[in-house]
Amino acid sequence: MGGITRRTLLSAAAVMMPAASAAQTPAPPGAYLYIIWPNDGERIKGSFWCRFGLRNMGVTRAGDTTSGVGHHHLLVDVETPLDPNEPIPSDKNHLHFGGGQTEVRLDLPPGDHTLQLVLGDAEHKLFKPPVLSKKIRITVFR
Amino acid sequence: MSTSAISSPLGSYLRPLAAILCVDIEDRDGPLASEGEARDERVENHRREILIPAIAAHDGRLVNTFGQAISAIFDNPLAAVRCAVAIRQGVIRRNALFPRQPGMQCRIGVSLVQLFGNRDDVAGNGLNAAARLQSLSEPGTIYISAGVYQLVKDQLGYPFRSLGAEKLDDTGEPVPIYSIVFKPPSVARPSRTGWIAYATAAGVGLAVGGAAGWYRLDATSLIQGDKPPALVITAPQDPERVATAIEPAVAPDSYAPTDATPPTPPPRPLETTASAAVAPPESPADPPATRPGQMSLAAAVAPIPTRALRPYEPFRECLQCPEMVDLPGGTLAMGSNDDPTEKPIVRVTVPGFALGRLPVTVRQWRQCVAAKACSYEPTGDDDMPVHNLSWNDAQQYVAWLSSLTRSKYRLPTEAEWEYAARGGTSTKYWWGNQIVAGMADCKGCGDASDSRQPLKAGSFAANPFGLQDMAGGVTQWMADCWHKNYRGAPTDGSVWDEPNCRERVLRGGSWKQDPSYSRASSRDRYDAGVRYPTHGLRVARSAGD
Repeated sequence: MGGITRRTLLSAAAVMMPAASAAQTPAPPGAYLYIIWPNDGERIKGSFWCRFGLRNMGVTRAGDTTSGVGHHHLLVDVETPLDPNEPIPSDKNHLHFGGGQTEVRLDLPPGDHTLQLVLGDAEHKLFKPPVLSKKIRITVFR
Repeated sequence: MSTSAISSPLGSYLRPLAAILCVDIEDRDGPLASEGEARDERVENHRREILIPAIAAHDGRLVNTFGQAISAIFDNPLAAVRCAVAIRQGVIRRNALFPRQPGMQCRIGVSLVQLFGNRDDVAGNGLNAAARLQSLSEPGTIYISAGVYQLVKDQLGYPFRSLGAEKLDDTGEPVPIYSIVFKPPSVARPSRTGWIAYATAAGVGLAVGGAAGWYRLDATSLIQGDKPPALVITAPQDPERVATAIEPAVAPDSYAPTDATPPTPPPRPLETTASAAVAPPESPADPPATRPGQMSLAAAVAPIPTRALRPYEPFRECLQCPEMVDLPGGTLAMGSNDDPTEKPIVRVTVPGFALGRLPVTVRQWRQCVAAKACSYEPTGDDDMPVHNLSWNDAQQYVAWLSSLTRSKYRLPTEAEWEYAARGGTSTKYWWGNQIVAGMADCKGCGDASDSRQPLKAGSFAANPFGLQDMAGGVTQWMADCWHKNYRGAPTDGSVWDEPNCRERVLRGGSWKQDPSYSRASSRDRYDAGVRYPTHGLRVARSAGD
């Protein structure tokens, strides 16, 4: 808590404006996010289906403010930590599933990659505490 | 300066490809049209808003000033000439935006220059030659030396006119000089008859300087780069053909010289009514966007009367409507080899259309909400681009605009957007291949960006088509369904849709993304029904709609 407050103040000072973000959405106890497939360390030929698992919470579409539900985001090769006060970025490494999707076909270039799921609230922000899967490592080859 | 300077005995210290540009801004209606502080302030505004950004955008460096003239040096002569064109267009556009102020005009000269050791230590002769060309030039024109002409003639995409030879420097040797040929910007084209009158007027304007006859680029001889200056004479008895020849669409570098077809003719005028003649200036409440003299007719939802359009000139169809820029059609190489989603590069010909000069702002969006036509309640300052939109939200807005006017407003297609974002260039960004501080609102594009919200709409310099914020800011929704690459993409600029499309295309990159997303060819996607904070829109309108 203390760490987050301090970071908020620092980032607010850096952009010369107050942190206007609404309070974070609380995660229900026991929420557990995991990648069903691939397994950690999997070696995969070509493109593949990545499947998302969630326990003790529900999957919904982005924008739904019902308590205890969220939507998936898949981080591919992301090393930068996420800012709890900002929406999860949307780019080639941060894939969004705001329609409530629970799987995606990935076509990654050959080589080593990391995959990690993150659950977002109605506004694409992290829950508190964050609901994250284990970050797995896979190898893709042709 | 003649090209013989290239073989000068100065050897390795010589940088023969450097070019120098000299530009002066003056009152269009003569020195007595305005005076005092207001005039100085206007000149200064032109420097700050047009000259300095254009020079920076083309990698130029300021070197000197003669009175109020500005000189800048460029490593690349083509960049120097492109900069001159951008400055000229910027001044013309600014005149259109501030119709109540006395108009300004520029005179520009570009010549080659020798540089020694220190890259900013400019030899006097080159500086003098550019200044001399500038002072020789007719108001509103660009004069270039023979050396510059030889280096840019195949790549600029505009025709040139030979003006004979003039003494440009201390050597006293006359050097051939050329001017770039533009259409006269101030003549309306209400009809075919008007076209002929306009072409005749152009003939009068271009006859200055002593050289007789009409010139235009001969596309066939341009293909062979080693031919002598590619100028052919067109009979003045054929004014319509001449008028077309002197007004090429600004085409991408890679295609302009090899296109054997004549340049795209200017777009047909909109439906014209008897009242379409340009009215005398009165008191427009919003000068940048509204035609003078039409305010009294523009009731709350009444469309502003139609009139003849001029390419690249902003117009607005109703009080709530965004400002639009009329773009002539053209051809582009869509895509790049920088990302798998941008391949293969496809040659696309886009018909003329109009595109919003800016992204839709919060103020404009709120008018749609007030009319109960848009359901999303925006946040942020009025002048900020509206953001956190889904594609479905964007569709509500364009449907509302269409209901206010007799036009069909819509989202742009990917091809239209990229054509407009490139503005005739083929580099990664319209200003070049590198990100330049102060050109875009993105993460890593300069200090101005704020991580939490986009900057005010129109914060950065316009591209060659007069469009702002085509790089960074809010990512803009496209009409097209997402396709993972360009295999099978339409080549006529039309929308590429699919039944039951779930993901739609976004273009332009956002203020929260790194510079690579701000490239003109960068593509992104998102669920059509989901809102995300960096997504906004810019509206389009087909030519005939």
